[in-house]
Amino acid sequence: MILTTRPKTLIRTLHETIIGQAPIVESLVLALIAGGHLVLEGPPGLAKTLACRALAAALGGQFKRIQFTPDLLPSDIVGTRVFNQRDATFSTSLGPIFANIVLADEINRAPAKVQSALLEAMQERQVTIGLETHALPRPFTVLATMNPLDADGTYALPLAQTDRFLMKVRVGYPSKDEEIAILERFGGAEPPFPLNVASLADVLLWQDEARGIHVEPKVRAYIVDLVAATRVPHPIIEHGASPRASLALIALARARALIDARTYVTPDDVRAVAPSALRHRIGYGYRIATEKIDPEDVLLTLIAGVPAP
Amino acid sequence: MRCASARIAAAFALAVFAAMAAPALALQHVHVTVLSIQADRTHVRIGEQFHLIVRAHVSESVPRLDGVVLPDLVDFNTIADERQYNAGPGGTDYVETLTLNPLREGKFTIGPVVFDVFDTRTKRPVRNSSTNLVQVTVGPLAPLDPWIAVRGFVFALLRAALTAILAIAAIAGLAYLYSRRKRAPLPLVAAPLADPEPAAAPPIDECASALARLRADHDRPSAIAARAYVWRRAGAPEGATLSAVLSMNATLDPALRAALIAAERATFIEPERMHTAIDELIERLERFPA
Repeated sequence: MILTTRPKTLIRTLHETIIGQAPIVESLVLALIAGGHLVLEGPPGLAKTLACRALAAALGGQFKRIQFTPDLLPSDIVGTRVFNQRDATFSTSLGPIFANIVLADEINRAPAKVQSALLEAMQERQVTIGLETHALPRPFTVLATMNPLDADGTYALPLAQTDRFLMKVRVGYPSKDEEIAILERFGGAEPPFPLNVASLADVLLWQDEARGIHVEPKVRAYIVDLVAATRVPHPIIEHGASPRASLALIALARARALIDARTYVTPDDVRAVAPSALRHRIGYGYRIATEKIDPEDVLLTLIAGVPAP
Repeated sequence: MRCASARIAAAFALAVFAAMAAPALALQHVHVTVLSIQADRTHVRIGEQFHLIVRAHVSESVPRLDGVVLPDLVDFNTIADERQYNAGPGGTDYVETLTLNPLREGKFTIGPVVFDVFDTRTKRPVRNSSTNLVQVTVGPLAPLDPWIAVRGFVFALLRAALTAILAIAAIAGLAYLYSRRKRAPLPLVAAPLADPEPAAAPPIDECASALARLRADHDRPSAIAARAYVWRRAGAPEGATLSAVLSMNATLDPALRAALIAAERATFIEPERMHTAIDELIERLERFPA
């Protein structure tokens, strides 16, 4: 197996544009290598969109941005059939989903039917318009940003859709030093984007390499134990994560090992990606709201309670 | 003859018209929007006063309202009668306040107030009526019986005491429920592994034993056993990951640190490269201080 250091180079280059926010940058590259989709949740102004744009610029390829609004229609995303009056035929107009990296900005500002339009594309990597099915380009990654649900004018994502995101990353505020560095480096101007640091062919190569990374049976058992821990009857958790969470955990752990230039997965890899892989796959009961419990605390306690091999 | 008859008929028609038109002509030309009657107290004793208030509003601005007919008040003694007009661009408000004193016990229906006008909207004579009012009058207050006063005081005292006891019981019950709710353990999950009691360091001869097994077997189980040994040597609890062990011991001996990393690699690396990793682990363990 030929290992490349390019994922780390990509991360380093992205950090030249994105100051701080290490979890965002690492998660973007993890999702890319694992071939999954990512949702970034956090208040506005925390470089969520900027990080996605920087990643797209660094990789080249086709990048499309869809600003989700309450009046968006499914055809605005996937495309539609257009009638040509001149020759009385229908032709297909492909939507902005046909790109390598699709930035679904503020995804929870659109109602459920529009969000559902992304489902087939995200899961099957193909889109059906009329009677025709169109394959999406490779690699294909949806990077979604969303504001917390308590913000005005937002809709909850359907569970079927959140489960299709490989990981969900919570974005926090930068530290004081990081914010000072942001002011010094950019001063309100548009930050420079790194261009063509890696190619789409590199990304496909990384994805192939990641699939070949070794996972010991003990680590596989640890992954299953972690997911099973979310299904144990709990006063706060209503439903646990599905087997899709186990698949996400193993894919992300492999991607992390690849970034770290390793050919095997360690329990550290699994523990590191577990919060992002499980966060959006657990259904919490009403006590989360009535007793003002932070679901993140419940999740981290749950993960810490499963002994590593 | 015919001429006389026609004259009589004309005179009769004129008389009938005059008779019909006379009341209409005498009526005030206004449009009534409000006509009501109400009392400030519906239950009074003989000897007590109450007020009866008649309100009217017409759309026109007029100096006074003629024809507001009050109901029969024979069962009451009228002490005062005050009328107020407030005319403006929006019409005229009329408020008549009667101060009355009931003359005898009973339940009396007062009303309605009637106001006949020539309506300016419909151009017809209209009779406006308010609703009725029921007034109850009871006998004068009997002289105070001292025993009744004492009994009332005792009852009031008992009622206050009973209310206080019930309130205290309710507060105590709520406090008990709240304390039970606080005590209930919320997340039924295992405690986090952070900051556990450091494991006792294994004796040094365990190192020799682990090394001997590694050299002899050179397989995954021997690597796992050696990893368990270096884990204990670093004081790490069972179930901790490598990064947790390294972060727990910032001043870790470099040889032990290298052995931890080598043991992790030998435990989880792919089978094709396991033997190389085990050789490296053996080398690390050999460098351990005695």
